[in-house]
Amino acid sequence: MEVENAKAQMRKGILELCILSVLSKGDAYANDLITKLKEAKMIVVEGTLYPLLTRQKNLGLLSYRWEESPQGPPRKYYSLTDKGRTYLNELHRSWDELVETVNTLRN
Amino acid sequence: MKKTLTVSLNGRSYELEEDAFKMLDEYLKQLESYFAEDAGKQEILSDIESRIADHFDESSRVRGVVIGADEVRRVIEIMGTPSDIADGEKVPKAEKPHRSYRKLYRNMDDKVLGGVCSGMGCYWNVEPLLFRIIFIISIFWGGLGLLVYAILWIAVPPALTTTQKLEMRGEEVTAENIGKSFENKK
Repeated sequence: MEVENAKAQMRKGILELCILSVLSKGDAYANDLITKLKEAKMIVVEGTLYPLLTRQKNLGLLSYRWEESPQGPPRKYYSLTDKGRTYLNELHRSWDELVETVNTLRN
Repeated sequence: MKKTLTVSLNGRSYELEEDAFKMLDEYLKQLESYFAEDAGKQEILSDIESRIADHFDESSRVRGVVIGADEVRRVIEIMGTPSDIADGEKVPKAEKPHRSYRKLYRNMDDKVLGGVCSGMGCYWNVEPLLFRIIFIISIFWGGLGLLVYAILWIAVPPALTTTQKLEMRGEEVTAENIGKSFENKK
C-alpha cells in the first residue's frame, strides 16, 4: 500500500512533465493526449488529465484554440506557449539531475 | 418499461434511462464538490462533460439509442471517481450540497377554508387536524383565532406551482422530484 502511494505521488508530478512533452512535439486535442498518456500507463482514469490541463493553461504554459472536428462539436486544440517551452526545458533539466542522483545513490 | 430523461452534455442531447440519469447526476455532483475549491472548476467540469459525451457517442452512434445504467457505469469507470482522480491524495470531504428547507405555504390540495392549517401541518410535519382544532377552540376565545386565521390567509402565499408544493413539503426541487409529483397527480 505504501509503495502504491509513493508511485501515485511520483506519477502525478511526472504527469505534468509528460503533458508538456507531448505538446512540445505538436499541438493536440485532449483526446489525443489521453490516448498517448494511457498507452504509456501514465494515467489510469481520464479525469486526472483535465484539472492539470486547466491549471497549466491558467499558468500560461499552454493555450488552446477551438478546432472543428470531423464529427461532433468543435474541440479544444492545445498547444505549448513560449513560457511553457521554457518551463519544460527547466523540468527536463531537473528530471535529468534527479535520475542521475537517484542512480548514483542506488548503485 | 422504463422512464427516460433527456440531458444535454456539451450542447448535444442524450436520452438516459432514469437510473442511468440518477447515477450520472450523482457522479457529476461528486465531481463538482471535489473541484469546488479549484479556480478552474467550471472549465474542468465542462471538459469532463464533453469527454463523457464523446464516450456516449462512441458506444451509441445510432440515433434513438437510450443510454442505460451499465453504459453510465462503464463511462464513470473510464473517467474515474473523485478518489480515483485524487489517486492516493487526500480527497476533501464532500459536504452535503444543499439542504432542502421548508417554506410556509397554504396547501391548496388539502384545505377546508384557505389551506392555512394544512400548510402549517406540512411546515411542522404535524397532522393539520391539530391546528384546525386549535383554531376552532380559539374562535370561542374572543375571536382571536379568526383574526389570526384571516391574517395568515392573506399573508401566506398558496402553493400553486409544483416547485412551491415541493418547498412546502421540504423536498428538494430537482427534476426527479418534479417528475414524481406529476406522477402522483395522475
